[in-house]
Amino acid sequence: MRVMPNAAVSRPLSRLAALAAGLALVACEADPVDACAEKTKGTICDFMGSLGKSGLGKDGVTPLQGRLYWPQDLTFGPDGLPYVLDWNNHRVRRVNAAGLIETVIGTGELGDAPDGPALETRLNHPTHISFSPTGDLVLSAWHNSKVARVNLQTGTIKSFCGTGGRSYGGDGGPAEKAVLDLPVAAVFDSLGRLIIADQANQRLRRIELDNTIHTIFGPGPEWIDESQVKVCAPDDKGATVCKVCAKAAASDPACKGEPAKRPSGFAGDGGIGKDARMFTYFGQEAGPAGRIDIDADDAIYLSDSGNHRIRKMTKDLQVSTFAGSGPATYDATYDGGFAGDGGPANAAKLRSPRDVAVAKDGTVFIADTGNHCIRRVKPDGVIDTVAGICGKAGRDAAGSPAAATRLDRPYGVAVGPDGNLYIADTYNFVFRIVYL
Amino acid sequence: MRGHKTTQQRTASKGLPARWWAATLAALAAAALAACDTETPATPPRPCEGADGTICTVIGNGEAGFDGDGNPLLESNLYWPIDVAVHPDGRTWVIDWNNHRVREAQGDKLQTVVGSDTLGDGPDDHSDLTPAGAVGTLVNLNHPTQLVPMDDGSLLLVAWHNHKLRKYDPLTGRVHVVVGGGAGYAGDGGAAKGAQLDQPQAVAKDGKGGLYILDQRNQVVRHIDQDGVIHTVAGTVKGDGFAGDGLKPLEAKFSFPKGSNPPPGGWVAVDAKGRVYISDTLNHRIRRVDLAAQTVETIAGTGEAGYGGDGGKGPEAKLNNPRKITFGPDGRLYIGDEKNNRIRALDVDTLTITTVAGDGKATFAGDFGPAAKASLWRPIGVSFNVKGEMLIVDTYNHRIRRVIGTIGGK
Repeated sequence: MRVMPNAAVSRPLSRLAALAAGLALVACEADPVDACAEKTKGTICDFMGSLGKSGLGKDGVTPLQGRLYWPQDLTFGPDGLPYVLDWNNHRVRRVNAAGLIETVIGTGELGDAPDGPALETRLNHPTHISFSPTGDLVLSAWHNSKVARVNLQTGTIKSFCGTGGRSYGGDGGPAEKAVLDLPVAAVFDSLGRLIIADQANQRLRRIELDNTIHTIFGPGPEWIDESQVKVCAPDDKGATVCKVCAKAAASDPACKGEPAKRPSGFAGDGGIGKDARMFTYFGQEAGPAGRIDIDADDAIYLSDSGNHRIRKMTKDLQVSTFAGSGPATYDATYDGGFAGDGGPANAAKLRSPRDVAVAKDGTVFIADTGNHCIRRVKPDGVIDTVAGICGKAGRDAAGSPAAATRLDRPYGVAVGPDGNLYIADTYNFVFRIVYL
Repeated sequence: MRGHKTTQQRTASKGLPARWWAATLAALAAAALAACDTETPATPPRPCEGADGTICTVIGNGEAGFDGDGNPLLESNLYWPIDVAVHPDGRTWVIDWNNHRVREAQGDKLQTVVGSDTLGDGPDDHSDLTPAGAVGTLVNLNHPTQLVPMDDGSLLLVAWHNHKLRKYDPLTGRVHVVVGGGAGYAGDGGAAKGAQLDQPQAVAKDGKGGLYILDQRNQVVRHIDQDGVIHTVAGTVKGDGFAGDGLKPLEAKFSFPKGSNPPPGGWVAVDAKGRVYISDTLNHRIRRVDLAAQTVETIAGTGEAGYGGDGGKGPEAKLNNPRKITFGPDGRLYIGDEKNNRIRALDVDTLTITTVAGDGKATFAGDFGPAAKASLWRPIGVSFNVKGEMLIVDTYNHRIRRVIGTIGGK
């Protein structure tokens, strides 16, 4: 709480004037509280957007005067500026060097993300940004099913992976001919290869240095693709016999059955990536899920949202559960949970985590979206909560300790170059900062 | 958020009673708060009154966003509204496109009646798939495009990016799916409920208990007859282009926005004789289909995007991205001529076309003046209230505007 100055004033009128000025100052001040001004450790503050107010707002205003609409994530560029995914405004915006909001990609109208001037392209729900070794912005244009490169000097966008068709295809071929289905995030490894979280395809894919694309996580040899159907029926002796047929040529009565489902599930811990399965949402109502990050040793962390876990795949493609727990096979009735703070991360419970961020010291932050909080796994493997009250959605003002401030479905988490934690508090329409 | 910052002052000064200080400080505090609280209007809004032909804003403060429900109509945020619907009893709804909501003007307040705070497809429990349906505010929507009052008192909601038609019952507040599942083209010859649509953008009643559907990404018009059976009646499936004037309706080609992530486009209307009108958005034309005679013709638009031809014949006039079409009480066809920033009116007998609102400038201007001199910014929708007054969905101004005065008989 701000305390009014208590200096002795001799005359009533001057006292009145001072008080009036003080009141006006307090009433009009935009920056909420001293704990934010002082960047007190552990305090949560608003970084960008207007708490509880969704919208487009204006460019050219300060971050706290602007509006965002279901912000998804944020990434700091090599220029030190934050680039944000303003999801329902279908734009990428940044806080520029002058400290003002500026749109850098997208008109806001729906479209197929055509190549050309970035400010004239039309996106549909972009979800992630990373930066290439050469400093280009790499955009996961989620619902466009493309990954595109933006040269920030020339302001041009060019798609380099994904045809835009929402399906699975192209492994072994050039990246631009690959077919993706809701690429939710893409990160570079230390060699400069790009790993793409191909959400609805339930796969991690990698663009090699020769520009070919391959699957490195999911879905195992059992999987049959969607052009085929698998039909199981009892034979004469009552044993179940399964047959895989081309869907188009399924005139054989034994081949009439349900079309194959997505290669989702839970499998593969202890094995290698191509035998593993994840569950990241697909279908008409799917929101963004399954974002990834990578650590200094090239281990990939995957928010395996539907399995309520964070999976880890090392440089040599060994898969394990890094955080969260649940049934040994995918169970649609298991809705995750909140448990385990203070203990080992892979014994804890998460609920529908949507993003993960690795700090320089190896600490991993998890957007525990379904629990409305941010979890932290320190290098010793112990998990705790750093922001939000797990299990309670809400809309609390800035200026209090982060772990006592409610969030509402935070979809994104990032660590800034300043070492502080940035949170996309998606349904509160703001980015938050937690001073660490 | 401001309450916790005010500091109570109990200091009394010599010569003046404590309550004088208290009252003065309270007044000053109130004044200070009011001075910087830009969302509190100093004066009540000017009533929408004036001579016939005067335009004024009736919903929306111009800010793109969602600032909660229950705000006064003129202080409410909208985000790219696309349509406005008026029930015969006078109730009015806005299709608040980029807020993914249907909002109702309840007295002086705006309230969401369908749609939640989450983008999606129906309620989590799928209880909207069968009657009586789900509570409207629990139904997640994805870019609804139109709401049409039906003869039974319900409203048909075109759930564009959900690839569905939903029914909203304003008495119960519940919503259920009546047509459509996932995106596709299927079901012709069968019951409409199981058919697949691909981003249906608009519907129009056929006057006989059936319905026409502008099935955007399938590039066709489909018809549900009074028995509930669906058929394709005009256009070439997935075959966008321009063809068919002088040919049969199923040989025609239209051009609605396509691709994987198109913006909405196309609209459909029906006249008193049962003829079908199609806003052929990317052909910049209005087409007319007579299904009984099996003919197709262009009744407005040369095909070239542009503005011109007022006072002359429709086919010699230019349109630019025509969107909603609807018949006015005078029998003329009104056109949301979006990228001309104007509302046009077309006499479908003489084919004379004129501009009825908008000066072409893409900005917000002209309230309380004549509609033709006001500025609209990409107006997509146009409707009429029970008094026969025109309501303009001024999409990029995030406002609904009304033109005073009944549009008379022709």
